Amino acid sequence: MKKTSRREALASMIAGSAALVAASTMPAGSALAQEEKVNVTFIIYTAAGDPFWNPVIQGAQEAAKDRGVSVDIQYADSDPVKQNNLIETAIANKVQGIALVNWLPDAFTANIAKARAAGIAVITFDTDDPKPNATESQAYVGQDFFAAGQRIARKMVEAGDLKKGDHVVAPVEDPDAFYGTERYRGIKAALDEAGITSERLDASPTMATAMTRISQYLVGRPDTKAVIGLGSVVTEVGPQAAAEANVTPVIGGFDLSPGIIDSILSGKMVATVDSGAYYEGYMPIVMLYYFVKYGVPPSSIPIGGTVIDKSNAELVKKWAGTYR
Amino acid sequence: MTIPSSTPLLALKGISKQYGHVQALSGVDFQINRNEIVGLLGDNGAGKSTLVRIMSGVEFPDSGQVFRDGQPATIKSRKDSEKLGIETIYQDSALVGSASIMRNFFAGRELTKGLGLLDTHKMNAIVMDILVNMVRISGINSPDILVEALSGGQRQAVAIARAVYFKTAMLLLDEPTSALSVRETAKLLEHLAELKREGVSAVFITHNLYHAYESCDRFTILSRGQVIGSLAKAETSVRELNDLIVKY
Amino acid sequence: MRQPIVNICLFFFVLQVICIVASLLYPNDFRYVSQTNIGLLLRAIPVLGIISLGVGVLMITGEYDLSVGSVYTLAGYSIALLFGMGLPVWLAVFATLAIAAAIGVTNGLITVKFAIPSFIATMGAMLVVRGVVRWLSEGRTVSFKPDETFSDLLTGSFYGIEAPFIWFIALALLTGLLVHKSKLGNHFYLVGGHEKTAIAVGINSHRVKVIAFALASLAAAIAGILSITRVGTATPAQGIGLELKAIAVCVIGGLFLSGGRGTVLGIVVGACLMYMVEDVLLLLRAPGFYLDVFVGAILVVAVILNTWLTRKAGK
Ligand SMILES: Nc1ncnc2c1ncn2[C@@H]1O[C@H](COP(=O)(O)OP(=O)(O)OP(=O)(O)O)[C@@H](O)[C@H]1O
Ligand SMILES: [Mg+2]
Repeated sequence: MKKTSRREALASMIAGSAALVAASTMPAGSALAQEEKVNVTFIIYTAAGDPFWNPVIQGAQEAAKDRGVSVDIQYADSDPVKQNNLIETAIANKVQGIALVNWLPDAFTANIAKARAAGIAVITFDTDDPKPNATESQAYVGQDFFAAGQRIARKMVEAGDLKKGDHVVAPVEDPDAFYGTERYRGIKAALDEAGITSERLDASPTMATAMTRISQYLVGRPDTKAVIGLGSVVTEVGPQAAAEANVTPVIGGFDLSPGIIDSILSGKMVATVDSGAYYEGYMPIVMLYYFVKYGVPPSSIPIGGTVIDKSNAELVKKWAGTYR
Repeated sequence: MTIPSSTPLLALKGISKQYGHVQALSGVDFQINRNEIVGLLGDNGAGKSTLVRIMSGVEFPDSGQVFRDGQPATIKSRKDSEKLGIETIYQDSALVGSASIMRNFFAGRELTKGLGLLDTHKMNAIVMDILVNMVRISGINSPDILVEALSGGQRQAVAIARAVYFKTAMLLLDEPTSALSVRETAKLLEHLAELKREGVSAVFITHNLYHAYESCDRFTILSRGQVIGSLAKAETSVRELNDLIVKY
Repeated sequence: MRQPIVNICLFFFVLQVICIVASLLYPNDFRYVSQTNIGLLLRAIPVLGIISLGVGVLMITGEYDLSVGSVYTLAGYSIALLFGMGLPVWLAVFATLAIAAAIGVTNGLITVKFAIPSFIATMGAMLVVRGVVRWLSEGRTVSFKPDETFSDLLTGSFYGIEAPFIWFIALALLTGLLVHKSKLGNHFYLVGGHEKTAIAVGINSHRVKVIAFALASLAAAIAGILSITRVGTATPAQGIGLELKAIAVCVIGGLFLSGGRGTVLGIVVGACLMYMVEDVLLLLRAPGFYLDVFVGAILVVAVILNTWLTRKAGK
């Protein structure tokens, strides 16, 4: 391993500081760069079709075009066995890089190590094992769920003027979802600090059901001062759920969707947290490329986590579904 | 057109039926005459039930012809056999247990008030009338009782009452007594005799030769899909029937 | 046929009385009899309730439909996309129902013609239809904002009663008429009770089952249309699990998994009971994150109770 990277590092030094430009535009640089594209397998952990991945895919594809990477996008259907099979197939196909979502701690550690041992570069995105250095993945590009949770909680406390002893509910689509667990940990940490109580609610991914459950919860606990949706569906139905329960808590959550942006623009929702999805696709491809070509070591990038409120929602709306 | 009374009600000629490699029936001739109870006898797997299913339109023969009152006829479905006046009481499935007496009685022949809506009132009245006055089964006081709550004998009685009401010309009974007590069996044989008085012919399948001998006018004996004998009651005995069946 | 329904109605009635009394005694802690909560229930019950009506009719004929959750989702997309393409809203409704009916007929034909378990046939349809939704939606949510007349008719309220609930009751009455009072309905029971016998008395069991499959799909589509009109948005992930919930509702309501038994009133009460359980739990501030634990346990207890009472009454 060391040997390869050193040689490639040398190559990149020879190419000099112009490497960046050279690789994408000039016929110069190494002959290798021209002839052979870098092959990368890009594994999305859900089934195809979740709108969340649209900007991620857009990012991956644009990076591939920019850098001359051949990217193969695969879906693991939320099945760890299938995802492991996909990794093994990628290893067998001798791709040069793998980007994957490490959505289940310990499930992919062995195969990541196997890929690295086979000389394949590995970068995780979107979700990673919460234990530092738990896997041999070289870098992680994604939201720090915990930090993002803290951020939205603080924003809601400020916007809703929440005080010690107030109560907050955090509905989630799927109680087992890792993003929900981690984001809630962040939210709870921030709220606990302020002496505010909180509880999660299993609301289901079906909008009508989620709306009813949130409403019923709010009727049962009319003292609830804020609703923070942990994912896009529950965040989207929040305002209408509160309206149907005849209460007026402040509402916020995670992710972007046309409905969420409209609610923010019309003042029915305070804020949401951007996942930085475009970069989740773009950055891993770029870093894999430079590592394979020139040995530039990948490095983790915390992205997303930007709070979107009325002040910056307009721009998000413009690029929703492609870059946002 | 008048039909001479000697013309059989139903005649089957050269009926064959194969299930995969099993030749269930091969060239079977069978007939039902006016005002006659035919005993259809034979060992297990002889082809008795297959013949009944063919006559009731649930199965279609590979070859052979059917005549009703001497006229060629085809029986391709239950509707066809119903038109020819054939009613069947099966070995294993005469009625639907989870449905009420009335709904079984009129199953497939429901009376409606138009628009496909059931005339429940009228059907209930008819069922009670028939059950109480004609078939005279005891212990049934409502047409809403589920059939599964009836005894085996009561069930057969309901099935027979149905045949009586719908003016069946021929009643096919496939082992109707197999699940009945001695008393219930006696009652059923009584019903059969009564039906005959009302002009209904019947085919009676049973493994009990005494029951057969007691109630039938003629016997047709099947063995491995072939007819090996057709005898009138007067020219045979239980013993001879027994020997015929066992010998082959 | 009568017994289980009497029990479940009694059970429902007793629960209602307890909840109402408790709510009157502690109006601030248990807001069951509040206008908001009643409104919520009346809006929430119809979605699952209408799906259950269709699934129930099919269950009476002895078959299942696991694709109703997917059809429910497809209907939302279908009406939103067709309406978005400029079709008049009623035409979009009609086309959506026609698509659903076609899916149901296909399910039915596959099940009866190839004589495979409907469990498998409709599981295939569940995956295929969901795949189609993904393809149609490209994974995106769609919104549906019809004119006021339409949305008021489906989701408004008449004399203080929520429109969805009125639709639910109207459909339940129609289903009741079909199932209990019509010739076709009688055939549903006979085919489900003992198919061989039904065939022997001349009932075309294939035709009867295909019709029931079509009704199940139609009901799911109606629920899908009602739900997107209320929420305004459809997501590709919605509707998963509704097929099993609908079967659970039917079983609570006294229908048999083996077919041939049950009443429409049972399905209605089952649907109300299902939502009442969730509602009461949330109003009582049961831990919302572990709601399924309680819901699951209560469902099983309800069915045990119903079965036990029925057996006892049968003796
Ligand atoms: N649906 C079927 N598929 C295949 N073989 C069949 C089928 N029905 C009947 N057979 C075969 O045809 C033959 C005749 O069967 P059938 O049921 O007519 O006999 P049976 O005389 O009624 O016998 P039993 O007295 O036992 O009722 C048997 O060998 C049986 O195995
Ligand atoms: Mg037999």
